[in-house]
Amino acid sequence: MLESIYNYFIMDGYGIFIWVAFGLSFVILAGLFVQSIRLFRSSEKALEDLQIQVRQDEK
Amino acid sequence: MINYFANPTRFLKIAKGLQPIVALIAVGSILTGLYYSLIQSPPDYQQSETVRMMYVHVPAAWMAMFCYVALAGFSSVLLIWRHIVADILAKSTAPIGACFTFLALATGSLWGKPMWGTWWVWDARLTSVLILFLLYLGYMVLYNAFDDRSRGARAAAILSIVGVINVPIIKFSVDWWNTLHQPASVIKMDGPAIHSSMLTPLILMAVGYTSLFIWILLIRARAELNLQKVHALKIRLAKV
Repeated sequence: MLESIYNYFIMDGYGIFIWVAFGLSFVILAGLFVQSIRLFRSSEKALEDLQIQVRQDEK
Repeated sequence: MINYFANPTRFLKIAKGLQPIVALIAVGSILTGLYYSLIQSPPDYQQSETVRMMYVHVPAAWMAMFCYVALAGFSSVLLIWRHIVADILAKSTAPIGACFTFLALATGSLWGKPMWGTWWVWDARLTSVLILFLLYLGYMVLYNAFDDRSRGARAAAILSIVGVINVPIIKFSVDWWNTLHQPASVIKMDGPAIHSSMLTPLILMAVGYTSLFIWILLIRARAELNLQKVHALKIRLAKV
């Protein structure tokens, strides 16, 4: 059982290339996604704050 | 139709409705694609287990080109009709396309080392994809290089339209020049040359990457619209 799991991760000796390729893809795409969400949230916060300020100024 | 989507309020409404649908497709396709890529699909008779890198490399390379064509399309709409939504979509597409191009280069390099014996070679396919990456970087730098946003947007749009000539060069580089890179095996006139057991995860990952691109694009476009409103409000406050 353990040997078959080990062999799966080793992948005929190419495991290091394969797992790095999949890992890098995950890191880059997840990073881009998280950065986009942060950009969206910060833009919403900035817009809300300014809208409050505009309303206060108009009063 | 272009005028229909050019209204920012209408675009926001459509983006909000579309986002959960593309999110569901992206997550579902990528998870299923990963299962097929890493567990279900067989090793190749020549390339052995390294063929699994195809499932992240090839969709990334397709997306690198697809995003660039989309970028040039949005830029054309911006230059011809001056639609603000096209400007926002173009600006939001560039970093996503750059990430996919970087992934295509990096995973290709990781695949090249065990198969070709080298991380990099200055052949037509690899070099043209590197130029694509530089075009994305150039677009982003040029966009932000002007104090006047609209001037930056127009200059970057022209660059992206000129650079679109690189896309067919990438596609046909393996046919036009001698290269270490293998010729097309999926998108070709006489149909795919790979077995369905490998085509299935490849298509699933491609659908997943495309949906992920749309999902991230919508998030970034909504953020950019908010930032434009912030900019307009700041000007209004400064005048008061």
